[in-house]
Amino acid sequence: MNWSGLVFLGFRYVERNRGKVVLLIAAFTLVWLLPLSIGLVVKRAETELRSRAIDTPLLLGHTGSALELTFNGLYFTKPGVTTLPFRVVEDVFDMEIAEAIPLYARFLASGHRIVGTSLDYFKFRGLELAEGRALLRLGECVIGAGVAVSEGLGEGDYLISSPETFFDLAGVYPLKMQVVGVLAPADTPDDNAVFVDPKTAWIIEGLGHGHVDAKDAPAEQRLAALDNSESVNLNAAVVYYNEITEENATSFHFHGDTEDYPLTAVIVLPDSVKSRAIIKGRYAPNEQLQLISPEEEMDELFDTVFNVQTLVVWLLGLVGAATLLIGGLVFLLSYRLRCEEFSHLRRLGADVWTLRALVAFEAGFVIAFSLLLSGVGLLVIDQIAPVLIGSLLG
Amino acid sequence: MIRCDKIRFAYPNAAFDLRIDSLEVRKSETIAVVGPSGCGKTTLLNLIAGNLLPQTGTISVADVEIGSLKLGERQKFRIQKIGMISQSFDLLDYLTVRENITLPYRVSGALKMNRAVKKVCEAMAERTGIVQHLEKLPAQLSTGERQRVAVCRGLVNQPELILADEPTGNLDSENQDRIISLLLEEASRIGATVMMITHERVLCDRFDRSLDLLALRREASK
Repeated sequence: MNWSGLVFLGFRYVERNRGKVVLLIAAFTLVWLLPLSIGLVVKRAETELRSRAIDTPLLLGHTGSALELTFNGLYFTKPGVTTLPFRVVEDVFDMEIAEAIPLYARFLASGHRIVGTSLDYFKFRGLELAEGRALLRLGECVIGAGVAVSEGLGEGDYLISSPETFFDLAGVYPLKMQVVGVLAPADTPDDNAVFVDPKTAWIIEGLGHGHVDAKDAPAEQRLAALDNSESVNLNAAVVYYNEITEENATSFHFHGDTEDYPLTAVIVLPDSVKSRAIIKGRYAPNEQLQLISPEEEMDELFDTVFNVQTLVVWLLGLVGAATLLIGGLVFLLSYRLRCEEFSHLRRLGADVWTLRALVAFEAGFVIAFSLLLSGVGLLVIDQIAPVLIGSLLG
Repeated sequence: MIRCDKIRFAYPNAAFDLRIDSLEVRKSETIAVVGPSGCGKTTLLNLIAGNLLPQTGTISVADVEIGSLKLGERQKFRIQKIGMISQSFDLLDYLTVRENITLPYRVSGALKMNRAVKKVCEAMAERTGIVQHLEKLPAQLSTGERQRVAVCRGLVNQPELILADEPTGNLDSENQDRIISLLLEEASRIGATVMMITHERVLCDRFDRSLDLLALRREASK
């Protein structure tokens, strides 16, 4: 067999019939890539989602979708979950058999979720500071490593919260927050979060605010009719601070009882298995609140996902088999069209093995190239899987 | 150069039966093989080339008895000693003219591609007037040009024997004349023996002698 001649003729044929070959490679690549990439993404999603769920013993939230509560409490998505009052945190602590970590994941800053939480959260998740310090006062934030990289922020920089809507005149003012710390990369959703104290989150929502002392307010900012020596009512002309500084920090205040202020979820950390059972029993009859196990929710979710995946892969397998059969038919027709060519080559001295190898070359080239492309595709999908999973979580 | 002794060949399940008592062709001789369609001209060429083997009798080319060679040896012998040109040109449409001419060196393990072969190819293309088409595909050439490519390919390995099966069958009279001249000139240059099938009696005058296959078969039947 003349190997160099075989390769030469094989490549020449493929090159001159590149339209057909490219189509076959594309079809075969999809046949390999689709089921494998679905399997890969589901596996990565399962690993990523389940590990965080396993690490979170219990999650307390308002009655509603347990899955949405899980996503909000663990991955800071689904900001529209119904809120529960802050006093629930105190209630859990009062039981003295568990700790509670408040979470208020609703607002955004430059596309990153602002998570109002306590310092216990960092300890619970094992989050380390790469630079700067922890949260100390209102208006400060600690950002995840991903936020720092994508926004080019570091200690001492500022980040402004995004207003929910430009037409919301009643509240959710943008708050300029100072970055006091940057977390080390954790390869979790924490990397893309902006952590603040729950009170800072409430200020962003407009539940708390700071402005010049009412008694010192200029006359144009007063509602004169209600002006008396005991209290001063201000009109809409009053200027609210959009940044909390050392100078104006004392002017920030909350109206009403902060125990009624909203949280989206509360992480509950029972101190024993028995405590876990007691707490679950305690909240079971509660019609306003639900206490869930994120791990169980994920198990349920992935049972469904795996069933769907199996069905999809079966269907893709059928489509793939049909594609391969059509590909085989193309090769067969190609062989028939080339029969005369092969008899010429035989007369020119090609042995039977050279001819067989030449027939196999086109199919081999298509299969090898499509496998190579599928491999590259899988590597790319593996790289972008976290982004894909993040976008799927919403 | 060629010696056929008492050969008989019949295709399985066919009435066709080719018998030749004796045929001898000298080295560098040029022969036109004539005869009506179906009389066995192409079969005779295939027997001499070793593509077919006679049921009885012997065929020798360059003092080598073809039937005594094994399949691989026969193929190697054919590639090294015999150049074949057919009526249908047998050019591969996905190769350029240059690649088609040197094709025997690409597909056969018996021939080795080297720089000298490329030079022979270019020189031959120059002489046959297709040098400007070397990088074109056969589809971009006229019928006459394609046949010239086929002639070049048949001669590129400088064979001792050229077997041409109606190489001018698809050409007009002007191109027929040019191709025959070309073939005979190139054969003469390398001292090759030429055996060419043709239906055109008028072309026979250009050869040393013509061989009426039908007459030869009748002689053998007596």
